[in-house]
Amino acid sequence: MAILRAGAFASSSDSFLDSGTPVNCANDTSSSAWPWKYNDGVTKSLETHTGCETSGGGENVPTTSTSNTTTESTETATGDFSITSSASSNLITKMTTTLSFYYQAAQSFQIKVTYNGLATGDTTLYQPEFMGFYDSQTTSGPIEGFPSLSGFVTRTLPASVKPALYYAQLDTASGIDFPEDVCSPKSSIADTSATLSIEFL
Amino acid sequence: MAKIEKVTQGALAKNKKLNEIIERLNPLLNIEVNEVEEDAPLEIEYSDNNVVLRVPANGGGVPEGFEEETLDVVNSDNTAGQRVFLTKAV
Repeated sequence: MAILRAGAFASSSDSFLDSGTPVNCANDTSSSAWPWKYNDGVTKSLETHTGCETSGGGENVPTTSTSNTTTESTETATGDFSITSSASSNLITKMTTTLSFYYQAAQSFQIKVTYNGLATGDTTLYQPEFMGFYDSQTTSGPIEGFPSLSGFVTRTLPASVKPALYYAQLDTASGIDFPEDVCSPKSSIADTSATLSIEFL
Repeated sequence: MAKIEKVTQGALAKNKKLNEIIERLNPLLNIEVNEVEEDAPLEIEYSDNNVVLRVPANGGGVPEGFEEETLDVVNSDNTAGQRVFLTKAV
């Protein structure tokens, strides 16, 4: 029996919204009447070494600034799809990369989710925060790694009359130390990059 | 279906009502259904030989007060499909 379409967007509490996370017909990316859509999102948190100031004791202490940005967009998929993102600063770089969508399905279907995360920097590179992959089906903790993380998981998305959410998230982070001369910010960077790919099996 | 022959011999032949029923029944055994233009009226024509039903195309159109709406569905094989629903505001 056919399932009546919900959407076009949904949330955890409402299956009939005009915006939000798109609702799709299972793994059918070929329909023009019901285009297959997903949300991709990137959140970047950068801490930048800007220079120095003189403390009350007369010594130089580093000054920093922070910047937080989030971008999210709804994209149309005509087959397998992915997102690639990167960020850099001269001190600490943190980034969260996500793919998400709702689906309705008369029978279960499978996807393969591939993740690649990388942190680079100079010789003082360290891990300032959690770096790992997890998704909405993760039950035993995230898959972690530093400075690189790569692999894939195969997921079975069960049949669902109501819109069911799937999301995948890759957190990456990179940090480098202040320079010896805290008044001269490094020209080298703490860089991080991430790629999430979803393949319909 | 072959028509029923009238009874002309024997005791039953004396029952004229029986043959009257056979006369009325035979046209019903040869019903013809013809589809006519969508806006034509539904017609039923009786004759001694058969009955002809003239039915407008699309079964006579959308019932009064209803309208057609095409809605998306997930087919049983997970493909995207569409169905036409007759809907009426309440």
